[in-house]
Amino acid sequence: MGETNILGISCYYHDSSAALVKNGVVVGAAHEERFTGKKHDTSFPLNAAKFCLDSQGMTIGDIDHIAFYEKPVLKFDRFLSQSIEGFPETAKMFLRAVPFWFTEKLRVPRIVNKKLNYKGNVFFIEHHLSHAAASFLPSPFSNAAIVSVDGVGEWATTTWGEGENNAINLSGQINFPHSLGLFYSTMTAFLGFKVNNDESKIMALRAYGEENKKENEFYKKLKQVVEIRKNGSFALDMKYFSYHRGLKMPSAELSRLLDCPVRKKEERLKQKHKDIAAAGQMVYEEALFNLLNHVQKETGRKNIVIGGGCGLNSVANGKIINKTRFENIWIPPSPGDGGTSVGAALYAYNCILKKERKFIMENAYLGPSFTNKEIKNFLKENKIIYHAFKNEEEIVAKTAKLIDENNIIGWFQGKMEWGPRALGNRSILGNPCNLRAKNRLLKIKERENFRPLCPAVCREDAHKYFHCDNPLPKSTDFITMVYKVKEDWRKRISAVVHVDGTAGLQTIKEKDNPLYYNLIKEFGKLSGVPVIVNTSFNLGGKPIVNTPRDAYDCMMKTGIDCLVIGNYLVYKKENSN
Amino acid sequence: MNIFLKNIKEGMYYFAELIANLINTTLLLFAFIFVVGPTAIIAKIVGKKFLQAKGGGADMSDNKKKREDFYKQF
Ligand SMILES: [Fe+2]
Repeated sequence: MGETNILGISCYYHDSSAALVKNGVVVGAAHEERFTGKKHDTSFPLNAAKFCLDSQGMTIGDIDHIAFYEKPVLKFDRFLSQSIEGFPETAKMFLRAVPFWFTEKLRVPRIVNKKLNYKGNVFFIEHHLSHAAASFLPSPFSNAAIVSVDGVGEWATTTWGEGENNAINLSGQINFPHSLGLFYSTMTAFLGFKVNNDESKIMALRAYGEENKKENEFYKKLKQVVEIRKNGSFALDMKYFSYHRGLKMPSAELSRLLDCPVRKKEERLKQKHKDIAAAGQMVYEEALFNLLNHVQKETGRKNIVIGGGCGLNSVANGKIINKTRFENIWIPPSPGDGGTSVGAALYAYNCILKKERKFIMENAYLGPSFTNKEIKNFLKENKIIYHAFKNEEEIVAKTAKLIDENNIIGWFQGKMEWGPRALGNRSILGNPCNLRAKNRLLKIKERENFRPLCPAVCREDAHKYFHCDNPLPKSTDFITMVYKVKEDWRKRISAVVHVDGTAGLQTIKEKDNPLYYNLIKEFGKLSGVPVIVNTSFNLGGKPIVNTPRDAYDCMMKTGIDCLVIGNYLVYKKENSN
Repeated sequence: MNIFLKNIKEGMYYFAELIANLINTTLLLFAFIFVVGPTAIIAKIVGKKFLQAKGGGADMSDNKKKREDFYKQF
């Protein structure tokens, strides 16, 4: 039997990406933004596709099928319906978008042919099927309920159903404009932040707001905006929104309802803004748990997988096991649109070609890597002063010591992570016991001081420091859950404890990343707590670093003290002149 | 001389882009006013709602579809 190679592609909305599935196994996946340096790059993922092929020593001639993550004509149908329904207000949206529809979005087969020189047919898989596939097919479950909660795909914004072995059946859907993702994005815009980028800021800010439903005046008001129905579904009162007319997300009516103008970007955050964030999160969670409980009843499944951009709402995710009748949960490292190239390719293999499932996504290390030789060449060619480690034990011992001495480390090792979060290969690391280190890290990342930093802990230690679900979900390895930090440890690791006592932790298994695992253990021996700060290795507003050059430049432009890159240590102070 | 020719070439490129944009926008505006507009008016008269409709979404159940269905963009 010959090999079957499928290239998955996602692009032209946000976070374009490519993924390669070889005989049912995801062997490579990357987001285009990492290669182009343009955050949330939407362009055709030519670099990501090239990486996937090169990493396996393949050419396009080795690819049997290409799978695209949505059905463009259905999406165009929704776009036209929106334009007609909102006439004449949709003029700006229509004039802006139509050229892209005719030059790119409706010409995918031609573009694939032209850019990749691919001659075969392309599979077009519905947006929400791609999400469902990305969350179920690589999950550790043989059967599960599937829920995708999203901004919008073609028409569907929310879908649910079940997966069993290599079959997916979506039995319910809610269509545009009723969307929990777009509701959350509207709250993001209302509070003066950037849609499709700053939703995590609302998740952070809500902890400073009133989380008692009886006391939060905005909660009652926002309940009028989202109708939560007994049958598990929900509907938005569209008079409070403008996005369906291609205008700004919230309408003037929402300002009237909340008795608060839309916050300007530079305006100081007031208590009412924090309360609105808390109210938005509470309403979102209520609608989500209501839907999940309905799906559990309908399917009778004990396992749940979550897909769609809302799968990044780790605050809500951390409560799912508690608030629903599901017993086990899995969320992929890239549940949003960026992850649909994996979903589309796996869907083609498992569901269209009807081949059995062979892959569980144990870790997210699917991206580009660099050999020690390549790194050394880069350092030498650029006359960078560096120190070589003798072996991995020395890397671990020296780096742990540097972190314990409150240095901020740029950590560049192995294959880049799949998904928006750094998981210990393209990370900035610091000491969780030191608040000064936290402030320095926030400055490096150009982050607002209300945003928390994430702790990384070895899986077997997680229950000691955090109130996690039991059994610990596998997807805590991907920072998909926020849990409470145990009271006894909050002071000790204060740099990673949010104002409400929670943390979005990353757990690590030794076999997935032994170097990182051993580093955390070694730091534990020095500090008494085997927990470190892990944040993504990037400049504010830029994608995570991809190459040694990106990593070095990032260190030199920020307050990072040193770079541990492959087998080498580079101090910023030694290279500052 | 070379710089002069290069500047002329660049100028012409921008001019062509400007003209193309102008034509595009005019055509699209025309389509918006004379195609989208009347459709919207007729839809309003007959009470047709485009967005609240449950339809539009594809049937996403896996087992009914053949491989050829996935080659379609709709
Ligand atoms: Fe999506």
